[in-house]
Amino acid sequence: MRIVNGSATPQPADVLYRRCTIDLGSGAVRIEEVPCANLEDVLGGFGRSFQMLAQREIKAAYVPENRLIVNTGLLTGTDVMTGLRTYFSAYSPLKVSSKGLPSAMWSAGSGKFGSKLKWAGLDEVIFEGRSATPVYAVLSEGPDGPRAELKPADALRGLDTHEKIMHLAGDYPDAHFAVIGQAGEAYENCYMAAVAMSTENQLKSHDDKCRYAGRGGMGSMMGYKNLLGIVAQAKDKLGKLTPDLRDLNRAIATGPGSAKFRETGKGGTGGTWSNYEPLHKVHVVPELNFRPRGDDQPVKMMRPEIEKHFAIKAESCWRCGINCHKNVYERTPEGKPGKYLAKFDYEPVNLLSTNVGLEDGHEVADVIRLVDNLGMDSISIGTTVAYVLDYNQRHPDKPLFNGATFGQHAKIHELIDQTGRGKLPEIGHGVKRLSESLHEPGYAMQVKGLELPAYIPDTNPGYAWAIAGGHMSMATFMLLALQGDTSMDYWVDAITQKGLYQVRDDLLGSCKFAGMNHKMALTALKEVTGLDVTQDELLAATRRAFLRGLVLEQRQGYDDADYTLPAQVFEDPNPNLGVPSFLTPEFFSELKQRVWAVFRPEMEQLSA
Amino acid sequence: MGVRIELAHMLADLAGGADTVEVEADTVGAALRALTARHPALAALVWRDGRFNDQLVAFLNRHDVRHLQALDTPVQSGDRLMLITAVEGG
Repeated sequence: MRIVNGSATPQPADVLYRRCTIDLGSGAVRIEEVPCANLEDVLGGFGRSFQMLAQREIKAAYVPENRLIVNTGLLTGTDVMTGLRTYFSAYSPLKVSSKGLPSAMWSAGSGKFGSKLKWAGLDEVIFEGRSATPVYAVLSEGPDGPRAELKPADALRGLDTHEKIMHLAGDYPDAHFAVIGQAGEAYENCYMAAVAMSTENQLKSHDDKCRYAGRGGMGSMMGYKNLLGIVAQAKDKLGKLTPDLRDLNRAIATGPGSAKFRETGKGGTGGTWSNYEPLHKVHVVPELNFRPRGDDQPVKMMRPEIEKHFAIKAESCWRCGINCHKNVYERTPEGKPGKYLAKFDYEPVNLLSTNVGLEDGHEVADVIRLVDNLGMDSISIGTTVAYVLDYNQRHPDKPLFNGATFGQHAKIHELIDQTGRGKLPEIGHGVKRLSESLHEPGYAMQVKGLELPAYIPDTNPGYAWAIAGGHMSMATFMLLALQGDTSMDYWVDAITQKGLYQVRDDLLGSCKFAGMNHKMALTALKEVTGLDVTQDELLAATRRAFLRGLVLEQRQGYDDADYTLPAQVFEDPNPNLGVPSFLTPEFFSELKQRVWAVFRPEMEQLSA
Repeated sequence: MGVRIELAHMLADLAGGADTVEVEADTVGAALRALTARHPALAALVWRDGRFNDQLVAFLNRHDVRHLQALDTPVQSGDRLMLITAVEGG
């Protein structure tokens, strides 16, 4: 990013970002500086990519015209703690409207790939078309600016995510990597493949500790394009910490915003995994396909129980003081961490344990690691497998696939493995398509074609308006347990005035786990770019970016019937929940009217 | 100098945008009561049926007060009390 004209208050057009466009069909590369059109263009992430996606009408995800946009935010690659995010955007093979059209999606991840991309001199890479043969892209800094080239990737074929990264790491020093696993290579049969990004810890320890951009099948898009990996090679470029930036980083590492993700004893609750405890108090931990039983089964997967048998280390992305990665190791006889087993974040832990009936720590670690190494979104595969298990329990006379039901580790492992290798397209195409083909969609835990994260829909009408995954693009998933408010005014306000601003960090390049309030975000922007952005401007840009997501959904055929929750919520309320039951069809119908009454006029302005 | 209470996002929003509030108190519970007296919009969130909302977590100088003496934990001038929501996404 570069500011021209030297103005003290630059306009968006004075801000240039550097884009590299690679035509995978011809191998042609174009690198150019692009002036920004508006503030969300300046900030980056999906704020920019969704405007680009809107420029083309795409009827199917797997067409050459469906670009894969890999970009960063202004804070990516800076000295702001957690400024490590990379965004992958495209029309999704997984998230589809009821009319069958693909929806615009982005997915984000940390690691160090995004920083290396920035340091190579690029803010954004667009992959056009499709390569006829498997390739990987190398983006590097040269004496005259950034360079890009495609290389044959035959040696990478069939390797899992970690193996691909370690293979490339042997050839490219000073580099970080974004790759797909076998699931992405099997894109035709697996729409839920993730993009894995390397971490410093991984390259040094040789343990499989990637971070993932999981949602919406962006790894499947890479697979379709025959792009098996991306190398970003550049020397680390560290700035000089100003006193304000040092204070900001200290506030991120020790303040209330990141406390949830820090270790116990360091002013934290022990990571997202610790969601189990408060959610269990009101019996809303997903169990057996999002149907809590009101008993104490979830206790078995709480961290104190797992810690009795394993060693847990809090580790981090590069230079992050939050240490949100809760990595589980075998415990040596001396009580020290031995062999690395898996990461235990809340979503993979819940959706691949309690929600599929597994309770043994080794079994859960096994399937989490399997999902990661095959390169799948743990939310989508976990939720879809839970549906299969539920279906088989309901239909013992005509079970699907291997007949797996809840708690059967070996069979669940087999389902995941086969799906990730492209041998079970019925699962790999996601729970919406599977459940509709079986004519039993009511207990398929998806909204708008995207599988639900580990918060039950009975507690969150906001899912209907999330634009890129239910817990990362609408912060309403925890509100019922937290406040217990079931009034219409409360939920309209939560969705239209508060929840959507969760996506602010998906423009900026910072991690939501930094927990920066708006004042901190503005300080970060000022310190690393010199840009003076007001809070009102930042929030307005975030809101426009979010609403563009809804506009794009509707352009892709989403209509009123798509904005709903799984039918089970309305038709068979769960009596075991310890929170108020309020989601009647009548309530939801009125909520929709009131939410759209707020959003629609703003969406029409954006469309004009 | 009193006890400095630091509030995470939505708690700060309910406190009118104040992310830190300084109060005079001798226990964690008294500090929280002083907080909600000054910012009544927080009261319904911090207190549920008259008890501390167990969907929140309070830290006194980096220590989870549930592992201390909960609301009866003594505080003194200069202490730092952090209040966060117990559930966050990820």
